Amino acid sequence: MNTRQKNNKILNRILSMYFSKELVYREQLLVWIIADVIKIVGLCFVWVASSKLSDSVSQSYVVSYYLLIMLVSKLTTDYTLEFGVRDIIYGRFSNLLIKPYNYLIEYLGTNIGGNILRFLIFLPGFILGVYFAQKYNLWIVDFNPYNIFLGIIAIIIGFLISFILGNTVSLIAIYIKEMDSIRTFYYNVASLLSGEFLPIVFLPMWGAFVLHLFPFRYTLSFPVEVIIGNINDYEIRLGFMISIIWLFVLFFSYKTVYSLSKKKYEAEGI
Amino acid sequence: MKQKEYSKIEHYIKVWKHIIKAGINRSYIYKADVFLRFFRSFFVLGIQLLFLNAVFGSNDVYVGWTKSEAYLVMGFWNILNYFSWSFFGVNLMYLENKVLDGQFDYILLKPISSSWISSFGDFFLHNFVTGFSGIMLVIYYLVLEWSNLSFLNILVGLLALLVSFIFWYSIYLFFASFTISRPRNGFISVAKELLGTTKYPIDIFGESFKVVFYTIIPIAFITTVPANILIGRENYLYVLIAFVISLVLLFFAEMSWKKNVKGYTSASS
Repeated sequence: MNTRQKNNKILNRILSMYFSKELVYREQLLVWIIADVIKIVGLCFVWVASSKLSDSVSQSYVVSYYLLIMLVSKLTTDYTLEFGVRDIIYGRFSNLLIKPYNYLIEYLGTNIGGNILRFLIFLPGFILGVYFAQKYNLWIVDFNPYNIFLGIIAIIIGFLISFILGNTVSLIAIYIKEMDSIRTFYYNVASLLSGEFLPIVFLPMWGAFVLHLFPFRYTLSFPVEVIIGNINDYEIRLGFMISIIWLFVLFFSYKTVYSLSKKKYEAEGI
Repeated sequence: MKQKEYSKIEHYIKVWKHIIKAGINRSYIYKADVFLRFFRSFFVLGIQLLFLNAVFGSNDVYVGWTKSEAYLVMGFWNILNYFSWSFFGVNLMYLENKVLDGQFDYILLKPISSSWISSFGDFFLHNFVTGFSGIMLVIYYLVLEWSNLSFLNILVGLLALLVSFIFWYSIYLFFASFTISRPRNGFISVAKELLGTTKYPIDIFGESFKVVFYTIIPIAFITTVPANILIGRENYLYVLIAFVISLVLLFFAEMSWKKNVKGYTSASS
C-alpha cells in the first residue's frame, strides 16, 4: 500500500469515527445551525434594508447572497482553532505527533466530517429558504452547471485556505497558552474580510480592493459570487489566481511556522 | 472570636468583591492576552463604525434612524454585551465544562445560590474594558445631539438600559440552565445570536417582525426601547413594561434553573 492509499484509509477511518462520535450530539449540531441561521438572517435583514436605499444592489441579490453564504460556510469552515488549540494546551498534541502519520490528516478528517454533517443538517433549511425566496421573487441564482462547477472548485480551495490558516494560527498556542483573545480576534478579522459581515457589493472601491487582496474573501464570498454568477470571466480568473497563490503562500508559511514551533513545543499539559 | 454577621445582600456583595479582585489579579498573569483584548476593543469599534457607514451608504436615514442614533443603539448593545460577558456571560458559557467535569457538584455544595455563583463566579476584565467602546459611542451621540435632548429622557433612557441588563441576564440564565441536565445542547449559542440581533434597531425587521419582537420574543426592549426613550420618541411607560417583563423572565429563568438542577446527574467520581 503506497502512502497516498494509506492516508486515504486513515482519513476515511477518522471520518467514520467523527460521524459516530458527533451523531451522539445531533441536538447540539442542530442548535448550532439554528444559532448560525439567526445570525445570518439578522445580517440579511440589515442589508436588505440597506439595499432599499440604493439602486446599485437589489434585495433579491442580498437574499440569494446570504442564503448561499449560510450554505457555503457549512463547507468551508475550519474548526482547528477550537479543538487544535485545546490539544496543544492540554498536552494531547504530543499523542498526535508520535502517530505514524501526519497529524494534519486527523485534523482534516475532523474538519471534513464536521462540515459534511453541518451541510447535511442545514440542507433542508436551505432548500426551504430557496423555495420561499423564489416564491417572493428574491432568488436570482439560475443554477448554471458551469457556475456550480466553478463554485465547487472555489469551495474546495476556500476550505483548504481556511484549514491552513486555522492550523497556522492554532500553532500560536505553543507560545501563548491563553488563546481566547487571539482566537476571537481571528474570528473577527475573518468575519469582516470574508464578506459575511460586509458583503463586497456594499463596499466602496477601496474596501472591495482590500477584500480582494486578503485570503479571507476566497473562503466564503468568492465561491458565493461565482455561484450567483454576477462576476465576469476576468474577475473569476483573477479570483482563482489570487486564491491559488494564497493557498501556496499559506501552505509554505504553515510549514515554516510548524518547523519553528515544533522546536519550542514542550509537550506539557496545563 | 465572634464572627461578624452579614445580611444576605452584604454577604453576596462581599463575595462578589473578592471575585472581582481575583479577576483583576488574574489579568496580570496573562499580559499578552489582556493587551490583545484591549487592542481588540478598538478593532471592534472600528468594524462597527465601518459597518454602519456601509449600511447607511450616502443616506442620512436608515429605517427611520439617523447615523448618530444607530451609533447610540450600537453603543447600548456594546455596553450590555461586553459588560455582561465580563460579569456573567463567560461564566455561563463555561458552565458546560463544569457540568461535564463534575465541578458543578462543588457549586451545589457551596452555601450560596448555585445560579448566582455559576453566573457571577468569575470576572473577566478584558471584556469589561471592551464595554467602554459602547460608552464612547453613547457619549458621541450625547455630545452630538446634546442641544436636542431632554435631561429627563437621558435619565430614563439609562434606567431602561439598567432594566435591559436584567433582560440580558434572564435570557442567558434561561438558556444556560438546560446545560445542567442536558450538557452539550448548544442552547447558549442561540441566546448569544438572538441577543446579537439587538445591535441593530428592531425596525430593520419590518412591521410584522417588529410586533413579534415587542411581544412574543420581547428583545425590542433591550436596545431599541432604551435608545428611543433617550432620543425622546417613546413613552416612559415602556420602561415599566420592560421592567415587568424582565422580572417575569428572571422568574422563569430561576424556575428553569431549579428544575434542571433536579435533573442534574453528577459526572465526578
